[in-house]
Amino acid sequence: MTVIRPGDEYLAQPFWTHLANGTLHLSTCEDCNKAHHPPSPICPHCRSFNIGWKPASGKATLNTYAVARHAVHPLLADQVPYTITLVDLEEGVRLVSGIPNGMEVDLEIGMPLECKVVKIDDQLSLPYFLPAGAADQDQ
Amino acid sequence: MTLRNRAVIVGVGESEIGKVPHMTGLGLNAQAARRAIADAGIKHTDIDGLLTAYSFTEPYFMLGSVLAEYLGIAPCYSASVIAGGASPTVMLNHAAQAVNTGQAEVVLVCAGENRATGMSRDEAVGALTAVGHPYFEAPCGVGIPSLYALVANAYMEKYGTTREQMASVCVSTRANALKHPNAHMKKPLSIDDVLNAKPISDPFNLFDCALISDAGGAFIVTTPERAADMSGTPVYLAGIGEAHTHEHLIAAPSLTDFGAEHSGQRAYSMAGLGPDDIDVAMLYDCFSIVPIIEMEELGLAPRGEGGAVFAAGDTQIGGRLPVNTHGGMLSHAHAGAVGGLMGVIEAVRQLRGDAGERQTPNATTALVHGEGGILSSHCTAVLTSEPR
Ligand SMILES: [Zn+2]
Repeated sequence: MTVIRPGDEYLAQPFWTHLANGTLHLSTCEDCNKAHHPPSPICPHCRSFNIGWKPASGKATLNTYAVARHAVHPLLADQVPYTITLVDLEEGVRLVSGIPNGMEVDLEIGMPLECKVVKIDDQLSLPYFLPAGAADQDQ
Repeated sequence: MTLRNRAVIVGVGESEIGKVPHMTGLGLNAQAARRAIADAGIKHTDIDGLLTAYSFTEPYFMLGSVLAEYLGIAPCYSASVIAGGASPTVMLNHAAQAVNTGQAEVVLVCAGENRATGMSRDEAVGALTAVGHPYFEAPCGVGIPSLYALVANAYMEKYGTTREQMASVCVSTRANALKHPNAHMKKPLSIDDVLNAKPISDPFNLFDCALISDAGGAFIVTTPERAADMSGTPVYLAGIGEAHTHEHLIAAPSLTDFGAEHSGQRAYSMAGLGPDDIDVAMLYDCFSIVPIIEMEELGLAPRGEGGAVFAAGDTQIGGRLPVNTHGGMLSHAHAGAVGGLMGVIEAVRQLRGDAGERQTPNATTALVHGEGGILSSHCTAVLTSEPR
């Protein structure tokens, strides 16, 4: 599967490293214990600079979704149509995600979802959020 | 200190619009500027302040300084504002502050790009993906249309806005654009045309998305006192307010409540006016859902009822609340920051009684709303034909 690779950024690196190891971690304040996303050098809840990484439960709710039918980038030309989701994690942060290409999933705004980390290649894995049951499907 | 009644727009100008291959982006700015200067009845040497926005098509870093070179001016006040589509109304706010603090007396506000011919369509759309988060949104294949589609689907789910109502936004602005001699789009558009157009990102089809044009626009801001010596008819800034709530959609406080409500309240409060006083409104319309959301957030319709106002035809010229009488970014012009600037220009023309067959009878109060990012930055202005 082709994806637009995320830019290489110091702040974001642990996010991708943890995913490559199969787990979703969130940038989390060591002082107030609240997560934030995207990763930031400063906690937006208490302004602490004491930031670490903690594993996420993987439990989320579908905030909204869209189906892209026109490729906004040449790399995506063979992907359309594909589904983009916006998910609210139990930890209080929101992620953009999607449904892996080729997977048939019925979505309904507000439904519970579970995280499934999908390996794209040796360097990159992406977090997808799927309805219970669908997360166990093989692709 | 309040800015109410203390700043006026005294000249407006728009460039050639559409595909203008013989002009550069800054050339379009310069053409619009010259027309605004002529409209104000001033000399270029009267301009001592310059505000510009940004450009994806120009190779220059300091746009304002290049434009000053082009125009042969040496302003004592100059800055470039980057608030996406909110930039023109934000620049109006800055210009009004500058002329009231002695930083400048006559400020030229400009924006424009040659996005239709200065870059390929893929480059134009690719550049816009820069508004998505490069590390956390781009890998999911998220472009601007999909980010707004996420908002549209959330809004439809919560407030019951329908696909047909969104299509009626495109139909309404197109009907208005057909009465504008300089509009990019020249052909009528029906609900069926919108619903059957090439799909982009559900629920949006091609005509739900703003144009990609070559276009420049300009307006001139000064004080009412200084405007007394100028031949251009002044339009008064009654109130203006901003709200900046996030940059990326993943950090937005909500997918169904945005900053327009707050920028609007600040503008109404300064003006001492409310939604019932608005005769004509220029709403930011990068995608068909957006003017519906703004209409509701700005109090021009109750929550969940903005779509019905468009569907009833009330927003067309001659309707109860004409919206985007020039045709908006869906049908008149869109090229970077100039999309929202055309709303300022049209509001001025409406309040001067200069809008020809687009004229809203007896319009004395206009609202202009600018929005940038993914409903991230908002700036609302209330303009009046006489001091309030
Ligand atoms: Zn904290």
